[in-house]
Amino acid sequence: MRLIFYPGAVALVVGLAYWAYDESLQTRDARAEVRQLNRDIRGLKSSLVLQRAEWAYLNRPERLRDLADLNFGVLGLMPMTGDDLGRVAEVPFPAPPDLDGSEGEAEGPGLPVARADPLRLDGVRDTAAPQDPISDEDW
Amino acid sequence: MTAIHPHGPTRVPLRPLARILHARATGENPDRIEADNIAQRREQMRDTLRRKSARRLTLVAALSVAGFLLIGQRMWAIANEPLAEPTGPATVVAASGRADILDRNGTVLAMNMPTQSLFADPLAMTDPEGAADDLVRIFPDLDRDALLRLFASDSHFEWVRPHLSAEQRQAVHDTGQTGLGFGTREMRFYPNGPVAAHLLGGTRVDLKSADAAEIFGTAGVELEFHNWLSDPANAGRPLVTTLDLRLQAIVEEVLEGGVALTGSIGAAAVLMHAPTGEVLALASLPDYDPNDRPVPVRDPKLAGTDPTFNRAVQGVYELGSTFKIFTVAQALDLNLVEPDTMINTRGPMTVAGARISDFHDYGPALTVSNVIVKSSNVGTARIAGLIGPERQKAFLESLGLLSQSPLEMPEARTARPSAPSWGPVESATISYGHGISTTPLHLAAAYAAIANGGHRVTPTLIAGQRHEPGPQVLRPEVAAAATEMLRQVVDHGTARNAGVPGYNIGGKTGTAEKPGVGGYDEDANIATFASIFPTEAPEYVLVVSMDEGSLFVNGATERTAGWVAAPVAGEILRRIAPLLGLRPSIAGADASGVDRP
Repeated sequence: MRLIFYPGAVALVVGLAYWAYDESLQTRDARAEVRQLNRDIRGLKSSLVLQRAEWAYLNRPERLRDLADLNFGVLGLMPMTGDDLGRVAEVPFPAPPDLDGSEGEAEGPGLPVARADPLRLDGVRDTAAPQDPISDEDW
Repeated sequence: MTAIHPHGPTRVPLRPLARILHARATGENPDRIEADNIAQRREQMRDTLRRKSARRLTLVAALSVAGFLLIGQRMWAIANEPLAEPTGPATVVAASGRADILDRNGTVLAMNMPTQSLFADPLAMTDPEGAADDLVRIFPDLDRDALLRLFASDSHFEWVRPHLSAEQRQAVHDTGQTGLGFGTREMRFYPNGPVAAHLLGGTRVDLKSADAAEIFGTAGVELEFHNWLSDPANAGRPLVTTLDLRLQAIVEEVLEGGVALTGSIGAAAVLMHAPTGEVLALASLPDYDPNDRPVPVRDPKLAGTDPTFNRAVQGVYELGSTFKIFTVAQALDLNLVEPDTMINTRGPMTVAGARISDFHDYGPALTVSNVIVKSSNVGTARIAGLIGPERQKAFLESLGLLSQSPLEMPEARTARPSAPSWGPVESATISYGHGISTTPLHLAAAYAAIANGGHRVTPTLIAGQRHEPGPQVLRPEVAAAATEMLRQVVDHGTARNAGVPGYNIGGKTGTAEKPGVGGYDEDANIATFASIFPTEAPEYVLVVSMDEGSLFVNGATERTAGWVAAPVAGEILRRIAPLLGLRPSIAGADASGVDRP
């Protein structure tokens, strides 16, 4: 009995000591890693802040206005006014597909014709009011 | 056999005489008795020692078990700890020192940014002259002589520059000069420059050490919410204002154009959401760059030219005929008149010895609507006569026109509207906006009450609040009638220049002469235009006020608000309407534009 118990106990103590030592080493490594990660997080956060600041600075109204003015020849951007809001009738929808080959011919070739096509505008609302597909609220 | 005594064995003689004698008598060897006794004594000693060591072993075992239990318990506790971000000195993640300020759409108005500061250690410098040369080359604005004086000082720490860009830091680093050091710290950054400058205010930096600087708000929202912004508990949580940067930029741009065209010395504009009192834009000209806020001018005589002076919030002006709508709305609310009641407008009118006259002669009588449309002082004063000073004062008070504005800005608390003792003469002049001074912000809040169906409005700058409708100060139908009158003013009255095709705008002009030396100064006007739009479902209020503007039109110099302020307001409205989601209505056209069979 003693022959088993004492060596066993010694082995157990040695094993536990090894385990404890290993744990402490791992803890130390983990702490070093956490420190490094925190350093990285700090660095990344600070560059994130810098990039946010840069983005905000590049998008400041004054610069955007100047850019629009400088590139007026290419872009032709003007300040937005109510006139720029279009009406549904101004959207050139393609002519409906010619299914039976009789109706499509009547319109003939030419500019796209605006038409009320409920499915293309707002499917959800139009199913509720198929008789009056587009109202002011659709805008 | 001698019994083993529990408490220390009795000393048994090794050769007890009686037994020796007895042994000798029986012929036994007395030495055996001695040996026996020695053996017995040894046995006793062994027993004692065994008990002793047994006790010690038990103690050691108990201690180790207790120790292992303790360690085991702790390990179990650690193993079962909920996973959490480790805290302590190992995890100080750079928290921004001061919260950001955002507009209602999340656009940055003010933020903290890491920066580098440059300091010198003169005692560690080997080549002060070379260092000064290098620094002047990198920063042309530095003075070489001043640097040399700084480097000659007998200290270990002198500031050279509070913030450097990364490129400048590298350039200084590349000079290889000894005795120059960098500190990391934060600075306040306003990416939009002068846009919304007065609202944001500004900050001041208190350099503590190479790596620490405290940022203090000095004006505007930065000062008002300084404690909140600098509270570490709020780090990462921005302060969201009700401002809309796009609208603010448009308002400022157009206002600036208006100032240039009319030669005004200053201007102010307030755009407010009428149901909630949220300020969407608040502009004051001249303005400044909050990144480098100028020192406010202390001399009150020069306050008009001080760029840090917030005209919209601090500027207490007589806002003139814009007040007429309050008189008429109150008279309608008290059922004293109807919109089509005829009012005697024959002038000049005399109230307690004071003469009141009109800009033009509007004939013997006008309807109440037309008193507003034509802006008749005499007509308004007659209506005010029906109301009486007490009720008039109470009504203006209920609109918030007589007390300081609750807007969350320190500047708002410095401005108190001024009204004199309230007699019959004052009642008459106040009815058309003279003898009472308020800020454009007060006027906007009062117009918002008309626009939102008669609820008092508390102007605010902080988004995300719950807004209960304020107390009812006007009946909804009266508010609607007043709005309709204002619409007629823009349609065919004094504010035709504010009209924008496709939009229904209601508004009232007001021109007041500024108090000059010995009375009013005829050539120095405050031209104000207060508007409500869209009139079919009023939602927004815009007040534009121009200081000492004039316009040369059709061979004459015009100083009235109809020419100076209304066109500016009209242009602002034209530009902001689509951003507010307002569509132009085209008379006669089917709104949907869909061909119906």
